[in-house]
Amino acid sequence: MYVETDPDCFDPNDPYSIGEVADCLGFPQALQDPHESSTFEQTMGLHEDVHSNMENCYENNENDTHLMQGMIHDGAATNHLDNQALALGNHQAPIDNNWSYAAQNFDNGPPIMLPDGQIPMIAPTLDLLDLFHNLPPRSSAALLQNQPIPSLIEPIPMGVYDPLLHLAPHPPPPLMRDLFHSLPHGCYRGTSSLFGDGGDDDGGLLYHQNHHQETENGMLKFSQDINVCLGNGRERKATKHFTTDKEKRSQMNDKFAILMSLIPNPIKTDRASVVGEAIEYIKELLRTVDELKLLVEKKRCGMGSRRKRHRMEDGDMESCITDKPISEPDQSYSSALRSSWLQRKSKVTEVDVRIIDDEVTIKLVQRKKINCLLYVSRVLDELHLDLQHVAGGHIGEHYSFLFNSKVLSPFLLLVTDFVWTRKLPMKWILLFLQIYEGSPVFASAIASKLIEAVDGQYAMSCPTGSY
Amino acid sequence: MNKATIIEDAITYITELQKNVKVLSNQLMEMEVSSIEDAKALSKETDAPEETEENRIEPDVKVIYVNGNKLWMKMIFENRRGRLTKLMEALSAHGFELNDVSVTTSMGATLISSCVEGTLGEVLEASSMSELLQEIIKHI
Repeated sequence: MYVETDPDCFDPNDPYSIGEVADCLGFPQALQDPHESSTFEQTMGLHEDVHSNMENCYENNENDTHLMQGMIHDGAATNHLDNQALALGNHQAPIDNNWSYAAQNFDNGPPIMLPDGQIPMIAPTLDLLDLFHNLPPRSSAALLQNQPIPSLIEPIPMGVYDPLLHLAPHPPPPLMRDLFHSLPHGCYRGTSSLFGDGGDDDGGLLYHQNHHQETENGMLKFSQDINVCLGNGRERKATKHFTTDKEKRSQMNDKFAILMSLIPNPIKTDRASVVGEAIEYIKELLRTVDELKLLVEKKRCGMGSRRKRHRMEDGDMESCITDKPISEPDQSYSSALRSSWLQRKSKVTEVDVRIIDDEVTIKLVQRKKINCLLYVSRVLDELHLDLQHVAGGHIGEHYSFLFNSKVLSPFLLLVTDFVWTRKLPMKWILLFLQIYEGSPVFASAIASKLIEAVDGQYAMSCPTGSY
Repeated sequence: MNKATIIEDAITYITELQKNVKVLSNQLMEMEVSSIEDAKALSKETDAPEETEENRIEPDVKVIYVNGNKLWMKMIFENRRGRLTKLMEALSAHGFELNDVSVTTSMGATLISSCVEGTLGEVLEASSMSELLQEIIKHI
């Protein structure tokens, strides 16, 4: 009789219509002949039996923990399933259509027998619908595709849900409700409507809520176990939601560690700083990539004409030291100005290097004073950058220098990672450097070398100093 | 986009950008190697004109006693490559520390004005310092 897919034949509020669905879902008798109308009486009888069964279950609330664990560990769904279904019960949701779909599937279902032989009573209320509706995604999809009903239930290692038990006249114990909060998220797509909670896509959050709500360790344990258990039996795509809080935290920590390892010279190790520095580093990498592309393009275009340009511009550069020399772009050059900017920091040192076309500006901040003018000029010589201007200021603990320099010969410096290993007192040094056009001096190399040199000198000069 | 995926995406993106930087740098390096000879020839040319075109610059040193162990000095000398570094090295070897330095180069000349302080505890005196500096300039 319940082969009919007419949803109207099923009244969610009518406990007696449960029998029809119970019929479909799996009475052994019913399965033999699902179309038999006489099964109705049978279902009614069974229905009453189950009802009393359920009441027994309710009386055993204090044993819930064990029951649930029993569910997990035995895989046996006996009275325990009653409790579970009870929890699911008492929530109304309009799932008529789903039910009809489910109903269709029952034709093909093999007999569903609980491991201990208990005949599963089917409580075809909307609560039951909820149960099926909220099974894992795969199963839901299967539902909609008219897959055989066993697919709904197979994955559940504990056996068959005893789906009836929504017949309980009184609401399920709150613990149960909380328990089902903790069931795999995949099961509870409609959880928010079911339980009246604010929906949240993050299964972890759901889980998290459960933790807060739970007062019994046993229930907590159960919820963790059930997640694991149910996860193992399901399709992998639902396993994401099965990680415990601890696992999630450790995963996040791992990811933050990886991110921190990618950043050059991380100063602080707290999460917010790591993210902030990652942001800055990404911007810097983007700038560097643009700069390199520009340089490559320029080099390709300008190899032949460089000689001529140098002669032409040499005299000009001397007279406009503080002005940014605007080189007339050769016809074959791209008209964009090569520019790069990056910063490097250590605990006591901060370097800011900006390169615009052929001028380099370096700011170096040092906290304590050492005579870093010497070391900086050494580094700049190494880099073939000729100092044009230097301005140094001593403000309390800070020094400020201004350098203006010119590159004497093109010198290729690759962007490499210099590791800062030493802490350094801070000074301000402002360096203006001029670079001959086409010389690929890279800002990061400048910055890194400077920091390395100054750090090293400081460490050498104050070997016993405490930082 | 939850936190975990954002972090993962950031990690992926950073590694990809680093790879790009490496590739481009290598590319640039290969191109640079082929043109480095041209550049070397150029650099020699650029150094020479500075000396022959400009008038020879006479080194000039002025030192004034400020207070305590502090002197103020002003130096003008010809701007040649690496001279500033050598000057710094010489000064630090003598235990002099420069505070509030200003260095300017223009027209092939370098002007340094700075406070000089002794770090080795010796008492600095203006005239002897002046002579010392002139000696240093001659040797760098």
